[in-house]
Amino acid sequence: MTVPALQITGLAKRFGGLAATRDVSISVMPGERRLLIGPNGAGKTTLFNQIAGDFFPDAGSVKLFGEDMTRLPTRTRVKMGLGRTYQVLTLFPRDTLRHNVVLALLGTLGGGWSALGALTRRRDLAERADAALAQVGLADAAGRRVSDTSYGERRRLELAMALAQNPRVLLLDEPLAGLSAAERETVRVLLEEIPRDVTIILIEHDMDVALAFADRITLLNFGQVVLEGTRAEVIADPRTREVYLGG
Amino acid sequence: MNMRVIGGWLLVVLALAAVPVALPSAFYLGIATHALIFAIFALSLNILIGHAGMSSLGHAVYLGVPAYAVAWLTVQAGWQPVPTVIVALLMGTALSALFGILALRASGLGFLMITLALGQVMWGAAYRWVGLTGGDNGIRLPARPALLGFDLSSALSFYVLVSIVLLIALCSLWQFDRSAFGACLRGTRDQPRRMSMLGHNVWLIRWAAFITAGFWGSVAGVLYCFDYQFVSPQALSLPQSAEALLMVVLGGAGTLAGPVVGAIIITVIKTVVSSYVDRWYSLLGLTFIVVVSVMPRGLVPGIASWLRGKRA
Amino acid sequence: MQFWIVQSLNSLAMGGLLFLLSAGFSLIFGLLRIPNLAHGGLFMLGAYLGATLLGGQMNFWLAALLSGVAVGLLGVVLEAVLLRRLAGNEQGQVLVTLGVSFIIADLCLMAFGGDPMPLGAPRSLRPPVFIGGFAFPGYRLVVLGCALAVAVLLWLLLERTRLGAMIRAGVDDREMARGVGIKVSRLFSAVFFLGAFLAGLGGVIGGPILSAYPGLDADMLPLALVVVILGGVGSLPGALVGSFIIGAIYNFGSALFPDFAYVVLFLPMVLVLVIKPTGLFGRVLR
Repeated sequence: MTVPALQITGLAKRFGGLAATRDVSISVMPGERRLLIGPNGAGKTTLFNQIAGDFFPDAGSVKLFGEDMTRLPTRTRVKMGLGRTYQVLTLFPRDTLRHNVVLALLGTLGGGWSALGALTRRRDLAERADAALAQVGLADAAGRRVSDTSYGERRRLELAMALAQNPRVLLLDEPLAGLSAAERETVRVLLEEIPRDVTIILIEHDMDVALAFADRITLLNFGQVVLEGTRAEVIADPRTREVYLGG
Repeated sequence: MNMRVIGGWLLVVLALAAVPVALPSAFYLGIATHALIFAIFALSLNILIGHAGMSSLGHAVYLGVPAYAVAWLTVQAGWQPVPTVIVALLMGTALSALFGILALRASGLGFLMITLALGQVMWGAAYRWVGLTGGDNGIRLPARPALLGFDLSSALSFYVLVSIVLLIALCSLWQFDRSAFGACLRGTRDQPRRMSMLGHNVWLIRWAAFITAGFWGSVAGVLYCFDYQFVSPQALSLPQSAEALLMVVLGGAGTLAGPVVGAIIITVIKTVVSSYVDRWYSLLGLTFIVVVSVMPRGLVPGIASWLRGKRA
Repeated sequence: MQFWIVQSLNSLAMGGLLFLLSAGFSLIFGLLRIPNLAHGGLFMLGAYLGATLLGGQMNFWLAALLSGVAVGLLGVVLEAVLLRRLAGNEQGQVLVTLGVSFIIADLCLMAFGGDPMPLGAPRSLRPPVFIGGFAFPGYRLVVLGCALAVAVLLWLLLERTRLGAMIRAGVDDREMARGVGIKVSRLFSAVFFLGAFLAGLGGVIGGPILSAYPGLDADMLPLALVVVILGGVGSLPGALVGSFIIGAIYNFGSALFPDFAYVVLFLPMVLVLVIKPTGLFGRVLR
């Protein structure tokens, strides 16, 4: 039996009187594309925050390829192979696209402690950053400042920063949000091109793209798992309609 | 290295060398020396404010404690200058490592309040622990010692030493600014959560910056003691921390030239005003309000963007 | 035995004094997120105003109230003229309030000179009180009573009145408060008035113990900070408990190790920071 890439067991977290996550158990196999759906406030991003280690759960555990990381700090999880993009863009707007990716590379490769020598002279890092940017079709934009790029380019930069770190498990929080139809198509192709040795968990409201992309789907509501299954199973299940139409 | 960079450094060296030629009197050279020492101090605080994005109101600790260490070790313990300087620098830096752990339990306003409170602890200790510090009377250094064979008693020789140290500080901080560590530090300033999601240890990066700031502050503190040949609780006081903060903000936080420009302006104003009126604190307070209201980004970035506007 | 009883009573009185000092600071910081570093200066200004009014033979309580109102109005002006434009710019707020405190200190020095000005307690409250056979300065118990009364009134104001409900709503969600028709700028003025009023009032009530002197502001501001950090930023019960802890440490510290009393004051703050950075009663901020 293969070890799941990401295994969440009985995860629970309360903020004051509000239960953000209630006994969530999700198991994602290596190479799988898993889609998280649910209405606004269902706890999807909060679940990502917990997987990333922004805060620790009250109960339950999170394992990456069998290794328990429930109480590990975010940076250690990243070094273990976890990557993430944000729904609300969190980039370094005054710096170049290349510099943004270099910061990502320094995070996983180390070398961020050197206080000598100009960072711009690190050819190795610049080349790897440019390669990551080329992967998302931003090769020509590497030297531009983030503040001078379009929203669609910034979304792709988010993806480049995550991919540059060679994650084993990648959390994508609405990578298509706010994009035009043409840009959505570009990103859809990029997502399809991510090799299968990367496991992907996706939050996305664009159902056309997301349903085609996902192997399995988990439906969340009020911080708990309502149901889980294949595309066809989830679509056919009456509970899906109930959650979305508030029946 | 391109021509503009070489030209910039040449200009700095020339400016430093021109001062003794233009202002040969010991009095004016003395004022220039004060200004350069505070330039080093403001540069050290700028690591926190400009690069790490953390406002400290307790930075005078790293000016005052090494200054007291130099005075006490020289006068009370009779130590030689070299070990005295080394121990004073170590003490200031070690204290910044300790206080950094406490202050970095919080961020933003919490950080500011903790640094302020810790600064007051040291001020209170200097003021009340009369047996060690001489209390309000402070400690007087009988003479400026010779350092490694250099006689520092004349205004010119001390000015040269301070200039060299300032150049070293500028050079290291310029390197720091461009280095991988400088980039990571600015990353933690702009997007701390993202930086940890990229695998960086945000806390450790900030702590290292705090210690670096403490080290360069201590360098300024040692020079301060040699300069005034006197140290009192004033060196550890809240107004001293606030003045340094004003220097950084006036000149432009996050730039290399800003703190130097700010330190020179404030020192000159302070010296000139103090000799005419004794309302320095009112003027200082007013300067705070004017700087924040009129040029929140500081002189250097303000002038730079104005020049760019003209050229374009 | 006498030592312990007298020092305990002194500690309670000092705790009351510290609460009068720090309640206003905690209020402004907790509700408006503005670090008002001029708070020590406002406290000192209150003490000087009180000393002046008392010198003119005014009734003590009237002098305290008038000084409080005058300082409160100054606070309203500060907020409206200088601070409102700096919303969200914490560093700017810090620099401006610090600048104001320097100006207040300098102008007080110019106006009232460098010698301490005593404030006499009301004559009827001066005689010592005998507790268990020990004489104890009666006025200190009055300070304690004032602090407890202020604590109760503040709690009632914030939790039980319409204004209090509006203040809490405005602080929790400014946009929402605007949406339901609350004038947020007026609320800010109200909170600033209240905080500065408490500083001025505290300066006069504490006056007979501390007197008004140059440097009172710099002595008091760190104490307010320590109380607030210890108790938890923005928590009124925290400020109350923090005040009594610091009051006790200050008194017993000064009596037992006079050289280190000032340093010892900060130890509980350091301890709390290491163990529970949000303070004893604090919520997580940001």
